[in-house]
Amino acid sequence: MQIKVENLTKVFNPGLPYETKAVDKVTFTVESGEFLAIIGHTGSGKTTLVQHIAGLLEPSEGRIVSVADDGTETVISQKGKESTLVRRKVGIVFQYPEYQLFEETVIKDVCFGPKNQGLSEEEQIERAKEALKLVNIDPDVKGEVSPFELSGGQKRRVAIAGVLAMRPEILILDEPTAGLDPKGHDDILEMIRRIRREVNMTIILVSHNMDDVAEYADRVLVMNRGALMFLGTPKEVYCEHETELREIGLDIPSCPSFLWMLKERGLNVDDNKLHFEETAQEIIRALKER
Amino acid sequence: MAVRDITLGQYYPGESCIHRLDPRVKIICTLIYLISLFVVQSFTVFGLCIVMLAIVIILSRIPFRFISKGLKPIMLLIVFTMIINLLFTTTGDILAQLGPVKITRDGIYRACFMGLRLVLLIFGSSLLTLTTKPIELTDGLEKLLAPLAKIGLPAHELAMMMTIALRFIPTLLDETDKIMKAQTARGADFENGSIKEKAKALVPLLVPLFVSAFRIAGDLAMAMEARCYHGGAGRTRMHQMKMAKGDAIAFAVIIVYFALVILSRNLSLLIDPQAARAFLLSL
Repeated sequence: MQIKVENLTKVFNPGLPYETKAVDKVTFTVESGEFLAIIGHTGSGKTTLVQHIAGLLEPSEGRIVSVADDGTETVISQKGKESTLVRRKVGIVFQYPEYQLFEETVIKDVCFGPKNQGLSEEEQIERAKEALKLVNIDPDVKGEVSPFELSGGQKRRVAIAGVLAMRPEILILDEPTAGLDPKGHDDILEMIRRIRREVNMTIILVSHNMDDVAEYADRVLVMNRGALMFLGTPKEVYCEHETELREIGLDIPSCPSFLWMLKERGLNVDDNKLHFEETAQEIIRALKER
Repeated sequence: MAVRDITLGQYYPGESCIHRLDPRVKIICTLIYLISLFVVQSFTVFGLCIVMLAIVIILSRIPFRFISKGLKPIMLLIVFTMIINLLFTTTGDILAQLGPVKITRDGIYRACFMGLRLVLLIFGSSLLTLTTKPIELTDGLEKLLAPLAKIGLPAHELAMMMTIALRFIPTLLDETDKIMKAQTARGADFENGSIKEKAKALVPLLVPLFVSAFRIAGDLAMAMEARCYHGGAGRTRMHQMKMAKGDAIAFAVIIVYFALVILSRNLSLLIDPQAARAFLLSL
């Protein structure tokens, strides 16, 4: 399933002194099966953008359309129309998703989504167990525990399972690693990578950690003050628009940043490398050459 | 989402002369205005109240559309009051009758009268919150209540509780909005269904909201303690409230207005000696 965002604009509080344009004429397409990262500053419109894709907000202008593999188009959202259909195909994990937990047991909470989809009880439980396994939580051990007794990282994974249990075709994650320690951070990202491989889902990751984006994403979309600034592979975005990114106050991932500093000090390296492995190879090559 | 449309108790940022008035003066003036609405007994005098309100609205430079939005949540109450007055007033000429239900001329008069009074009450009180920052409002209230602290009224604590409550209304609304969206994304339906289904649908919203509220309260208490908060005794303020010329003028205007309202109530006493005698005898 493809998602087309066409000329999307969202204005909050129109006509009031605190009127704000959160998203400004954004147009792009999310390809089926890709890993798209959306980066930008706090307040750049990332969250508002993905909430539109999930069909939770009504655009002020423009529209979002999903294109099925056979080419049929369904409107996800446009002015004056909100669709509930798409919510089943697009799963969204909010920032700090653990704050949405409410049931008595972990299993019941994960069942909430499938239950609302109208599935039978056995099917709900089957889906919930499958989703819990995907996020590395053993349903036989933790299933009957109250979600409020889990640790922070576990709570978050249960909340993500709650969305996965609905078997969405597209999974949106809004800063899924915010507030976690480095290990929890890596766990979540590795988990996302594994889910993508096992279930073949389209992933949209909202983040402002440049290293994660360079490491995991197929394409990067840079938002600045509500507008789409760049869209391309991490290499294209980071290597060709380095100065612009720095100007709007975004970091460059540590690898190209490090290579760039080496280059400035006279080592003949190519700074178009994003992954740690290839960066190491590049430095070794440059050092041998010298 | 509907939760964001609530304007009652909301502040409208501005720099008008009404915004700049001392909060204590604004609180007292609003109180006097609200009392005056209950003193009024005829539509003619309501004209005076409307003029007064209109002047303040114009001076405050708040768009009328924004103020009237505050009426929306209370509309039901107003309509209900009007209907009750319409149906249960039995005096006066009967205009229509259906079984025991009579609609009388007095009934229509009273229904309109009550409706107008409620609308003016809401406008008057929302003007106070629209033009005063919540912090100023509670500071003003604390100052006004301070004399009562001598007889054991916990003025500072009351004001602090109000400050905190007001401060967290938008936070909790945001939180509600966020949880609602998260559960909607998981297929929850808050809008359709019978009352029982709707009530049940609130569980996934209320449980996380309560958890959040307690978490926020705990964090706040910790943060306040960490900054050595220990009640009102000996606390000084960064912004001292000072009365200015504008405050004196506002005060004078409201006193004159109130006097006019009281006088108009007894206007007939002033111009009609017979009515005055009857009034005196009735005492």
